[in-house]
Amino acid sequence: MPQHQISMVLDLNKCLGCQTCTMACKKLWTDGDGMDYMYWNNVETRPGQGYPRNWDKIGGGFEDGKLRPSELPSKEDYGQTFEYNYAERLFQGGMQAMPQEEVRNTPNWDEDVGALMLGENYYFYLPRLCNHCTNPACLEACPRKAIYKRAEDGIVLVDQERCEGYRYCMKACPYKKIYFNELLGKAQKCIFCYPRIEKGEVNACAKQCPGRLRFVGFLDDPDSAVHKLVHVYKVALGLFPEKGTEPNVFYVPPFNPPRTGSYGKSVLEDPRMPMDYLKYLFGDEVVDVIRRLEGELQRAQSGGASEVLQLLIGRDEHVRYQIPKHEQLIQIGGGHKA
Amino acid sequence: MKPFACVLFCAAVALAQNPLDPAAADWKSAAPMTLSLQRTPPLYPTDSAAAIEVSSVQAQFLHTNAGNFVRLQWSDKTHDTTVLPKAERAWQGDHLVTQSAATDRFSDACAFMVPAKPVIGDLNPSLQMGDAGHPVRIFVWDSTRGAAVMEASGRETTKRTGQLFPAQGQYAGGKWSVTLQIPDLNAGTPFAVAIWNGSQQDRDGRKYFTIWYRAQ
Amino acid sequence: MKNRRDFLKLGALAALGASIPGCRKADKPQLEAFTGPLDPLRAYPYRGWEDLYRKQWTWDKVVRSTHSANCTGSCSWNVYVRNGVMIREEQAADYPRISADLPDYNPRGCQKGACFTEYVYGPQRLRSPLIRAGERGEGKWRKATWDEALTMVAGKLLDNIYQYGPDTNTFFSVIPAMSPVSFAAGSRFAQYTGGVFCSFYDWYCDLPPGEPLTWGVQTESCECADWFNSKYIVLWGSNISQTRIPDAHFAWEARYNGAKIVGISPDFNSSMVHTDLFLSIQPGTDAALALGVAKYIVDNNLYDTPYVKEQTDLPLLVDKRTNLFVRAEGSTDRFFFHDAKTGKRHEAPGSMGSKEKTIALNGADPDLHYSDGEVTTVFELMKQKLAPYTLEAVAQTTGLALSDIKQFAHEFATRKPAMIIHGAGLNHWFHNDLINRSLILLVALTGNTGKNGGGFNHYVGQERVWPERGFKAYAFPEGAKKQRMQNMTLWTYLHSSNKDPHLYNGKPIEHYIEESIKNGWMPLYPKKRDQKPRALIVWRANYLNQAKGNEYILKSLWKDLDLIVDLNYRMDTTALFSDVVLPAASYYEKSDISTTDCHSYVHPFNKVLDPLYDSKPDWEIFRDLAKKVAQLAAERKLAPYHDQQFDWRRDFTKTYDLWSGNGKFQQPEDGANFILDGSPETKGMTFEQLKQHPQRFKKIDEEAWNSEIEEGRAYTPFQHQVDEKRPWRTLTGRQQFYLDHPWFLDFGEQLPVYKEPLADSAKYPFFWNTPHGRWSIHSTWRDARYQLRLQRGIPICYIHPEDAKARNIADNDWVKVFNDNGSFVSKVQILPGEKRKRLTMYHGWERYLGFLQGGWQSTSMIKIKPTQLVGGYGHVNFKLNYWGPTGNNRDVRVDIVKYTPTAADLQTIRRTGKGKA
Repeated sequence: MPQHQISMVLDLNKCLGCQTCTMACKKLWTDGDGMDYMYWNNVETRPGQGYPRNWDKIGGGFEDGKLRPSELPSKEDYGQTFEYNYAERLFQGGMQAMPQEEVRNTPNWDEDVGALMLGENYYFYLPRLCNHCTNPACLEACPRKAIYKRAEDGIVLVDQERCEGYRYCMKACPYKKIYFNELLGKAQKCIFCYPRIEKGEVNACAKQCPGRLRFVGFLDDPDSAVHKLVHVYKVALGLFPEKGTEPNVFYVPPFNPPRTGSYGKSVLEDPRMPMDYLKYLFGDEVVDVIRRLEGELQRAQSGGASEVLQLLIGRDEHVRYQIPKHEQLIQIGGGHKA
Repeated sequence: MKPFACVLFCAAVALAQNPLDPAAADWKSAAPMTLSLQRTPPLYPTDSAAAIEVSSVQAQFLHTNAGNFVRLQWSDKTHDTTVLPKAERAWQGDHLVTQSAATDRFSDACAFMVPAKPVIGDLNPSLQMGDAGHPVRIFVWDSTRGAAVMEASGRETTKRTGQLFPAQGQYAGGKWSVTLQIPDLNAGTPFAVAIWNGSQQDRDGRKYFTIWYRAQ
Repeated sequence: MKNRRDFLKLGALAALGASIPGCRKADKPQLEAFTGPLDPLRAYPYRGWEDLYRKQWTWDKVVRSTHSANCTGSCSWNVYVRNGVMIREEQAADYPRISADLPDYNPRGCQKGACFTEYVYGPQRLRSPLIRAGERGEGKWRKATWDEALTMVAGKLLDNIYQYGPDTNTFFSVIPAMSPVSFAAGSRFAQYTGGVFCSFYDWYCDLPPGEPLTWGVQTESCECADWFNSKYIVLWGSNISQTRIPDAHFAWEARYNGAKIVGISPDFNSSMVHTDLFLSIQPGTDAALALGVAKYIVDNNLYDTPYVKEQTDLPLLVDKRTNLFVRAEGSTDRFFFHDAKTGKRHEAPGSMGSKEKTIALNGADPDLHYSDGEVTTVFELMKQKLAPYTLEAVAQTTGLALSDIKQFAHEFATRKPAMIIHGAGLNHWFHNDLINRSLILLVALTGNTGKNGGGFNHYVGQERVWPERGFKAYAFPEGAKKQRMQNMTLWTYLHSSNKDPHLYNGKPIEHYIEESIKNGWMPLYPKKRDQKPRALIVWRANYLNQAKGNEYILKSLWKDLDLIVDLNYRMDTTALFSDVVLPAASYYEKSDISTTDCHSYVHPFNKVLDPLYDSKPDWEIFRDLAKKVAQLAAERKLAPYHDQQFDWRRDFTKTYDLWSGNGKFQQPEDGANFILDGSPETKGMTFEQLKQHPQRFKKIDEEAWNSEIEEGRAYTPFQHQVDEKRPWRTLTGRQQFYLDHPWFLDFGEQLPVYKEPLADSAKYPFFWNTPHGRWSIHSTWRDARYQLRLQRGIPICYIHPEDAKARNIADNDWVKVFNDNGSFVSKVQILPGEKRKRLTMYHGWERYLGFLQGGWQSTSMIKIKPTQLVGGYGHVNFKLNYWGPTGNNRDVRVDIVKYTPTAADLQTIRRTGKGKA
């Protein structure tokens, strides 16, 4: 067990699907050699194929305490990385600007598609990053023990010196949130922006999110928003809990509006989005969360007050982020220094 | 220098540079050793079993003024290596950044392992990357990423030293030919060889290996 | 776990282990025992490598700037420099709080702004002046020096003036608010060379004509923080999650604060997913829905009677025979209502002709329902007009469920405050004015206009220049009366081969155009009708790519122009099709300021680095062009030109002196400070000061705006009228729903009504829909690699699965979309949320990327609505960007077929061989 566990809660009822978080992470961390196809943070439309394609179906995680087998996603599964012939078209009188190859699959291929139920469309946006799990399957799988969990904050990292690119970790991760840098021959993944966290600054994906849907703090800090949302109000759930890795990134589950002609009915009675789909993602507990959130919303919209919704408004950074100074944590918690 | 001596000198120099080329004529005269290959058993519960696709590797040795060379040759139906594409990184203008080509492919590779300390008699280090007190040095050549020197004294302790060494590989007609220039390689030096077949998802301990032999 | 100290001390995770959600105890995996002492789950001794990423988050210098993109964002960004290169940007998140209760504006920004550095250095960046060496659009250029390029341009402009007249030189730049100093540099040049300055807000179809018609204003909306104050928000034709990215959170947060959110849109788009009620309306029928709700409000007496009596023209008297307002004898602008208190006719205060400069009733009680043999009220006429809009009929017309509409109508009428966020989804229709007016009627009937959290709020287009007074004085220093101003829709229509075949009340649009010009309602340049425009100068805009009637323009206007000049930092389609391209500094390489409708702050552009390559800020380009004109005029010994229209003797050797204000403006910062100093909103602020963080406006210019800026309160418009009873800026002094202009009467549009989308292309079965989306701001970022990688790489259009099946079209197929105006070939995506019988392509794709034929505007044509040509009616007169025909484009219909690429197409797609541009 680490001394403390940093954590994030994402409110899926505020996600715009704008991909600003994706771009923030990309420009800061994955703009280098061998990283072109990587999006340590991505946003996918759900239901949908996800990124990498069908990641939720190809395996990984634990079953009965043992690592489950999995395929490795191919570059095609992650999606193409387009380059264009602009110089040719715009400055040399050349042919129409096109990507370097025919378009087949991209990381956000089925944006806004979702699915139909009884003729009505439903979907929502799901931003994803490494869950910095409490029982990381990646850490378990690495034969060189090159993946570790930091004692002072629970951030899971791949040692970029000791990693040999064997990729057992990529197979083991049920969320497929570790990537392979083919040039360096190393596995790479979300680092929870630890250089920023150490300086009291929040992750780039959170800081730059215009939807303001991310809450960041220490799960074991009773004053933090994440603690309240997960443990007190209990409105935030991890993805695929049955995979057994105990993720530390949580989601407030999403609503869709009622079906045509069903305005006024409960989401549990006649939903646009089938409850089975939410259960698939978040486990059975999601039904109770939805019921309680719906009640909170009704109360607020009838002129009453709702504590949890007031918290989820997240009026400013002080409400959404609680990152104590890192030195403080190391001294008190005795975490390892470099 | 007299012209005739120059020719001889140049020929000698030319001869000395050749051994790194796996197709060099010199290798025709080196006596081949055929080494049996076995596969390591599946090490992890999620690992799948693998067929024996490569049954042996041939080793030849050349000791010249320019250095000591070994050439390894083995059959491999598939050429598992990658050419990494380049693309412009906008904010560095014409600077080209290397992109990835495949994420789920493993490269063909080979390694030449020798004891890092002189051995006494036949007490070679453990084949499993040596052991405490009996370290090994491993000269790895990866068909995508090139050559690197590693050291280990037991499994899980393998470390890159940061050194490189001269090596060249060629794939033709279903066969790999890889030459490695190994320092302090003499007749009698104990050695073992590992082969990784990329198409069988080989890497780490999932590979083909030989027992200890002595170099010619 | 008691408190924070405990947390820090104890590391209390173990205590929580049992209660971690989603993890059933029985399933907790047993981690395999590690061989050896290393236990990375608990401790790791090799952490030295972590400096690798710490080093990556370092920089040498950070500078605040912003983006000039017509997005209404006006977002504050920090740009990071390392080794002399801009490596990334991150929102500064430094907007001061308005109040403790309102969520703050931070971080503000989007995924596009987050990668602008890609444009700074990318392959599209213009690095030196270029002069065309092949055909227009071919992409063949020769490099030129600045001197050569500016000499060529200045020389041709002067030639045109003396040979053909100054009104053959045309200038087009848009949205001053996004960078007014860069805008004004060119408008000053235009004024001092007698050129024609064209409008944009109407041409882009962003101007909601219902606002000038009903309120006498260009557009006035609440700042977005005010959404949080609402209890009922209707997203009507507005996809805020895609188009108001920095501000959408206010709506979703308002929901948690007790607001209900209704979404009205044909498709189930990104914003609809978060609504409480989604109304999938049949395209173009929104006015019917609004009028149905209006009828419900009226029938059930749910209107705010005192408000309606005081703030609207609904009590005013109309002559039953003539359908004209009852006016005072011999006046055009004095009106009456029937006072219930006295039983007599009473002159309505506050009209344009009234002596009383207030609309306060002072005890009078207008009778909304008055009717006798001769006169009746607007209210009663409205009731008659509303009669057909029963909720049953409306359900039929709109395709909506009756129960949904009933609840919507009731909630809109009774939940307060209620607001409509109105978008391009409505405003781009031919009958946009009727749609606007119908929606405004709703907020007026319920007394929601002029209240925090209420109103009709429109943000399409960043047209609002808050520091307007100083800006106007800088941009047109000799005043609007000495500037040739032109509605761009009319200019483009008449100077291209766009020809509307439709008849309006039996007459072609040309009839109405000629009437309008003859009456002096709409100006037209060149004034001599046998003269054609000669030169077009474009900056901060992508005129050609975005123009409706694209195929017609390419065949006509674009061939007829002698000189096309584009100032730009990237080679967009207009630049590609120009004769002279002048490289402009990017947003990070110049000084300017930025304001927007969406918030009440001003903040600057700062130079992160000096202009890269051989580029110059727009401001310097126009400075040098002015100098060049002066120089050439002297060299050629040109006699001053007598500009008869203004009686202005133009000595062009003085062009630079005039442009620089006789040396007052030496740097763009001088222009910025002039604007700041000249406007009540920003008086006392300096450009230097703005660098700290965005500053909230201090007060407002009462001549321009209609509410105060108050500390601690979000801005909402029309409080002067609603609270202080100042007259509305209309003919009647009230929110005016009755327009008795003869043309409005001829078309039966004196009151808002519902009219169907134009039927003239009805032989084509699909509505053609080109909304604004998340992946671009018009054409900006349309070719940005990092954005394209998160889409499908090239232009696509969307189709419903059933429609695709009927046409045998599969996802990712090539398709051809066509009608009588033109066609294009792109790829297609199947979208279950799309509306049946409608195709969507998000807006702004560049012609040079991804299409096998044509472009996104190939199937459109310019349509002018006759009533949008009127003038001479109180508050309804042409003023640049205030009133004029709008460039509507939603009534277009098309068809679609699967397209099989030819051999040449395949070469293009696979980038082999020569292919085809």
